[in-house]
Amino acid sequence: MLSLNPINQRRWAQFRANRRGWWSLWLFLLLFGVSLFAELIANERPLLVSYAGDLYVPVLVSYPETTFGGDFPTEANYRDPFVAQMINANGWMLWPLIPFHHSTVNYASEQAAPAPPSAQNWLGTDDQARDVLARLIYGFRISVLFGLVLTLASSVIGVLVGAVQGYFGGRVDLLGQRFIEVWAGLPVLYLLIIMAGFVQPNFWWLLAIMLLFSWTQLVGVVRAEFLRVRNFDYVTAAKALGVGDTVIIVRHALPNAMVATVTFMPFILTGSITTLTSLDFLGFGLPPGSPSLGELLAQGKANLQAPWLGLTAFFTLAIMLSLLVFIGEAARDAFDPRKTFAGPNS
Amino acid sequence: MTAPLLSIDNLSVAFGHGSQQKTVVQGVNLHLNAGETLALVGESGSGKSVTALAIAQLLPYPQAHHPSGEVRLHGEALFKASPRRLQALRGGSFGMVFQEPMTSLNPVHTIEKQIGETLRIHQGLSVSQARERSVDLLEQVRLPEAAARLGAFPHQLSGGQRQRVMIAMAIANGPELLIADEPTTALDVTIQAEILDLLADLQRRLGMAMLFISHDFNVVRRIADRVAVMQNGRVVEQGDRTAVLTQPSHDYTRMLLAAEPTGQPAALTAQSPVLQTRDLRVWFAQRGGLLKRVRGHLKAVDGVDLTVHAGETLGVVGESGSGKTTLGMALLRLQSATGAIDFEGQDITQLKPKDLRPLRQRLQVVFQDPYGSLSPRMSVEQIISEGLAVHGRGGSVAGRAQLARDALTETGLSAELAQRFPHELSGGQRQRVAIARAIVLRPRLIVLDEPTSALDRSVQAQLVDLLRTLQARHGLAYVFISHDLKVVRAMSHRVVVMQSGRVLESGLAEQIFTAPQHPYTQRLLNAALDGAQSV
Repeated sequence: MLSLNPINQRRWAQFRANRRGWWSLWLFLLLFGVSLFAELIANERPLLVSYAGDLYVPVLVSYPETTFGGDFPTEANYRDPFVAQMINANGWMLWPLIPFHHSTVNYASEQAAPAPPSAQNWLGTDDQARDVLARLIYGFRISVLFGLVLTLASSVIGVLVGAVQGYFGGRVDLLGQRFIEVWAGLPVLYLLIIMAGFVQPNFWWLLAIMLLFSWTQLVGVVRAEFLRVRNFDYVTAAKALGVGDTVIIVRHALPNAMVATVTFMPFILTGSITTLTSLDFLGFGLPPGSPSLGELLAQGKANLQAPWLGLTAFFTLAIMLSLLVFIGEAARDAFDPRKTFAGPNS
Repeated sequence: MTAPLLSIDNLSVAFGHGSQQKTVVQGVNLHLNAGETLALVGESGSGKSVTALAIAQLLPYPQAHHPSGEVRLHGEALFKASPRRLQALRGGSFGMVFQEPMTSLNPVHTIEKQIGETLRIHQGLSVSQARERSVDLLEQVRLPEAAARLGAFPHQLSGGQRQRVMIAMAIANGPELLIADEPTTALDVTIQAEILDLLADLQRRLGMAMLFISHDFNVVRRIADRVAVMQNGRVVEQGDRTAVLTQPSHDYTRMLLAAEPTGQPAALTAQSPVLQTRDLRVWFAQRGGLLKRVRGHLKAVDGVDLTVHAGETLGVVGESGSGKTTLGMALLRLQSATGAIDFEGQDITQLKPKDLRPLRQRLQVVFQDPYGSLSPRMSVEQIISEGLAVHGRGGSVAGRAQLARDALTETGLSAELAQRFPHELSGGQRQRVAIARAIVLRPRLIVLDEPTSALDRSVQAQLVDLLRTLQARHGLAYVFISHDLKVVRAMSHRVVVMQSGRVLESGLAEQIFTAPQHPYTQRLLNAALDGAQSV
């Protein structure tokens, strides 16, 4: 760690002392890190192709079929037995661990879709003969990324609004609180469904729509913290020094509110992921064809005779959310002043 | 000789375990006979409160533990007693009174419920019996209109009244031992005297023994039969009150006794006013009714005229609630006020915040609580140089750091402390950092709001010396706000006495301290200073 002051060092030690949270953090980071490179793990294009003495990288570059002696000027379909035969005759192909993209339809499946787990499709295929494991990896990545971006964005807005309300108080606070009460009273799910009818939601549209409602979560705690801090002597002292309001908010008051914010964040993250999953499940989420855990769940529900669909989605969600909750618990411990400062003087 | 009521043998208290273990009380031997008052004296961190809590087994076990020692009440070993037995003893055989009467009482229950609870638990009284007994107890502690106060909540009582309720609860079951942990420290001097009289009187009438914990020798003088002095977890001296206070044998006791702020501020020559107020008012509107109309005003500061000259200290004296802190904040324009404040010949009451900013460097402040007035997440150097950066002084970052170090040295601290954080410093060191933050801007006037009140006596004396030295060197003017008349006397050229927002009396310090005119000033001086004379 770069330069942690003693308080943060103690917090870090406290976080590590919660073994469950500590291992959950590493496991989650490992899974997330691996899923970031999903294209290298599950893809319908080979990682490396050697053809007629030359090396090609289909994962990164798009080559027309004619490169490999085919007929079409369009991109080569390496899963096509004809193309594969041509390449293998003059060289070799290095395939990723899972030779399917999330959108790849496995025409070579020996059983009707949805096909049960086999040596070819480790977790089986869904009802459109796409590999479940490939969809899972991509779906996990999109869920976590969506959750992270939404959490970060709503935290920034929430902290900002809470800081302004709490620091200035009075009329600003009064109007802000009333607005948030009205805003929070809107039925979010119905609004999302209605809005999904106006626009074809993609990743960013969904993010924007959900951000409209999720930023209010942190305002309360940050505002309360600022209301407390603004009467502290060191804030008054800073005012007496002539320090401006913005600097006081950022330098003196914000660090106090960060404890509440950081403690809350893992739980906002789980909330965001759950919301996205439920929207996908209902069919109002990401566009059709996107890999998503909610869509997998919906398929599981529609195909009860193929339990691998529902079970895969269930276990993935259960493990991911449990890991995040454990991390959140450890973060809460780390920022618990009774534990952090449980020194000899307490 | 009969067996003592309470005996503490070779008591040690340690917190933490293994390498984290820190021993805070070491080998303390004390004994207390029936009907006797033993005062346990020491500075903060000397282990006196921990010793008292160990008697009642109220330390945070198992983090706290006793490597050695035993506490015996009537020969009964308390460390081996069962939790049930201890519960019966607490509030039964010994009562306790704590320092802070606001937090010692539960804010959501009425007085009747809180006193009645201990009566029902220990004596099994019925509700009506408990009420009768509660009224009786409240009369014993001389709470005015005792019967009518039963339904009151703690916040409806004053600090002194709350402390009386605490005492009533402590004596409810006729304890043999009363443990009083700094019971008067949080109170104003006039009320302090009344509470001390009450405790002494109750002790005589009920024949209780009292363990009285205090840092203040003036209080100890009034109440103790015997005195034990603690330093760093050890009892360094104990004996008869007169013996300890007049012929102390240990250096530390001598140091504590001598550690009264003394001396006079440097004499003044020329007089040029720095700050003048005319008819300064801070009124808080009290609204009521459906339309929130202004029903009246709480007059925190009400028509104050005062003048501070260059290089002079103006002492502002008053009890809590007299408006002296509000006055200080109004002078700094941190509290909106009406009237006129002339600072260096310019009326600053009408200035906009932007125009006020350049003036701020010449008008500084030091607060009471050295723990609260420094930002806990900034290093000492950052804290001191923050003001320099705001006013574009000191050139570069390095130049500001150098000025901050110079200011540290000037306040008697080592420049090496610059990289430390506030929580690594002692109370006295923090207060010096707060002073360094103020003087680094080279102000003309500093408002000192009870700067010594949260510190030990010996540290207070050093701080008063420091403030006087700085004043003489830089020609600083001080507005010195304090309830502690001894410190005010050692600091001030002139004094104003405030009550309920108004100035009752003002004049030269010597004049006010030797020949007070107003009856309130006389009462205040009597209560504050008579302890010193009645050894």
